[in-house]
Amino acid sequence: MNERVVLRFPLLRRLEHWVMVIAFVTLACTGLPQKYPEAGISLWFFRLIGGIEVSRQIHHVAAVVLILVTLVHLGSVGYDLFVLGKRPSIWFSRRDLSNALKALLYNLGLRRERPKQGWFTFEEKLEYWALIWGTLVMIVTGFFLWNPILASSIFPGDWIPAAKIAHGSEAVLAVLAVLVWHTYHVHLKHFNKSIFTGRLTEEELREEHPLYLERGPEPRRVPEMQRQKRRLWFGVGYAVLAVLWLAGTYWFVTAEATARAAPPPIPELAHEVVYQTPVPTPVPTPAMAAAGGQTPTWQEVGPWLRAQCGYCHAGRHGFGGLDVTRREGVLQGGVHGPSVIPGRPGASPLWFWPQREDHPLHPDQDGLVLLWQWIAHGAP
Amino acid sequence: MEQKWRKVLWLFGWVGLLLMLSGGLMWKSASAHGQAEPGVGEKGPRLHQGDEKVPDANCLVCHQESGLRTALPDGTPLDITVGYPDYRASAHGQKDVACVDCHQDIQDYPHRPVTATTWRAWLAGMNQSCRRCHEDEAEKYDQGDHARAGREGNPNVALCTDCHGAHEMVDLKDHPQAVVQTCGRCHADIYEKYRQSVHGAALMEEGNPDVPTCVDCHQNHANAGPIYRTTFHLMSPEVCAKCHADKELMAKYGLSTHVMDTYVGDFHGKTVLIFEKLYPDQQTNKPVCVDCHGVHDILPPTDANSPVMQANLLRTCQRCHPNARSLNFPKAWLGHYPPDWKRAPLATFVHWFYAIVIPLTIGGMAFFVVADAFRRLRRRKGEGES
Repeated sequence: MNERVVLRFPLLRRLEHWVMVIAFVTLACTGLPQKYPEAGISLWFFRLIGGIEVSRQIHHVAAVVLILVTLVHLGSVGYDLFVLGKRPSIWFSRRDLSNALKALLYNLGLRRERPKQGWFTFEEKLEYWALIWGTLVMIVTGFFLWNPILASSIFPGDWIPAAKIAHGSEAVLAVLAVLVWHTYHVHLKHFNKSIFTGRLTEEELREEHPLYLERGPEPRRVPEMQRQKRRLWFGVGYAVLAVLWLAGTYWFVTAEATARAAPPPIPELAHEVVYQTPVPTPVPTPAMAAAGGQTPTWQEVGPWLRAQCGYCHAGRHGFGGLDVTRREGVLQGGVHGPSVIPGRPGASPLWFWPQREDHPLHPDQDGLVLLWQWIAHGAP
Repeated sequence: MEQKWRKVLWLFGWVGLLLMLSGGLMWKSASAHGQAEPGVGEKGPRLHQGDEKVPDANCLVCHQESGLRTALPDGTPLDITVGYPDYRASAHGQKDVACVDCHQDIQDYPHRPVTATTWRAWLAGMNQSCRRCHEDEAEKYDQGDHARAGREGNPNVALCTDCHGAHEMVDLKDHPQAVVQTCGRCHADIYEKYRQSVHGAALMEEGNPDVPTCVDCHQNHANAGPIYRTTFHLMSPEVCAKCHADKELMAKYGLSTHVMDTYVGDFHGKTVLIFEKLYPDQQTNKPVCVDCHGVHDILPPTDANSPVMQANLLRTCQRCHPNARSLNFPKAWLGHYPPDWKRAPLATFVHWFYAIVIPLTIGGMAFFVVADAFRRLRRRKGEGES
């Protein structure tokens, strides 16, 4: 038997496949652990590559690769269809549906003959269109997850959780489909190497694509003259598409930053670290409920402070450098730093210090409530 | 002649004096080495006799006197009157713990001089006595943030007696309100916030025992907070989940227990979970429960002042996402509820779409593949036979 071989995949298609393999595996490996963060294998993976944020970075890079290889594929398919005038042999037809049914019946032993299939079998078409569908879903939903602020300014907010569910579920569907369908048909059933070598042997053709052998390669339908013209048009059209696509990808990646590189949240406790730890010697907190909602001002607090503390802490030479006769003096404080932290009475030395056991005099309780309120309202 | 006699007399005088001195010294040393008179020490009367403990009555001879006051070397006045009836009513007094069991440094009268120069330093020294009996608590205390701040030189950190009291010691167990008030004596700002929070109000006003007090989140002796521990922020959702994922407890108040799984199901929670499991000491910029809900001032999401109340939500998001200006943005978060047809119809549709499509597709593919494989095997067998 002479070893007639047929070119099935030109170099560009083979390269597309390789890029697709790398992008798909990377996306699945970095994406699925994010969907199932509690699984042991996910933790193992995150530890291996250095954490969930690293995983997200890699996922984003692979996503860009996927978007770009889609552009390349659109170009090569467009060139084949428009310039070379090839038949869209990958297109689904009613015949594929009946082929699928016949194949199933044959497998179940209900038919004697396997259906004869052409250049692309229905199994291959199913896989191809599943990939197209999946890529489309992933790019659209991925945009929502990558740019939630932008997306929610155009679409309703609950589209984002919907996109998240779709993104994760589609990923599971795609990975399972590849594991079941792809693995069986091109690895287990018969290792079909044509996507790496580009070639199919006549034996393989007879087995899988007998109709192609019967009918032979399709004739080129576009005359040379017209092809040159079309090539020009295609070049212009594809250039426009490529520019738009690349610009869109750039926009996709850079449209918003804060969802990923947000500043850390500022917990209330971050402010708790003041130059003094909360209170040196325990002091009681005032009964805030008793005090009304009015905001005391310096007009009320000032005279009380002068009467209570002014004997020692008055003027430029007040004890500890503290001058309670002026609001600025109180805010500025003394040798230990400011005596009032506006809004934070419990952390303000002016409130707790005179209540310490080692302070010579203790201010009266009613006044302390006033002082607390004054500092709590920002020491106006 | 007279001169001679005078010299002899002088000699006798000197010798006699020497003899008397040495004899006296010998007698003195003999008495010191021998059996000393009971109750009389070198410096004065001892407070205890033999191995017996000094009875409290000995101390009270002086220390019951009212208005008794001394001063530390730095001039800090120190009240040394003991309210003995109060002490007898305290946790220690009820168990007949004697004065000198804690006041280890005092065995004699006059007392040894105080070496501590300040009030806090003196207190810290006194608190070492607690360790003799309360070893476990002391060990935990040493792991806590108070102890750490103390080691770093802050003299004002809470010591045993700052929380438990000294002579008027009370058992704080089963007194959640007293616990909170005790912490509030130093952490007054936080106390005031807590008191007005949904937890604090329930405890302080209604005496509800279900709500967390300070120590439920921060521990009592081995106390921990986010200032010293980066791990605290990351593990805090687990603290909240202790109660908020408890179905029985939450059913009492009609609260959802989906808070934790919906949180972990989204970007924020996932990241925090992974960080907590892999790198607990690292910080992430993703928020934990308290970053949105508030910490000590936490309020129910229906409260107008709650940061997670519908109308306040966008402002809360903007703390990390300053560019978010659309009111749609907070709606991307389904509020700790799993999607349902009423709240999020699209998300629910997508969920059900895939819940049906995935098994159908994969099941169909698997069916075809298995059937195909069997057929091929059979055909190969048939070929082999024929």
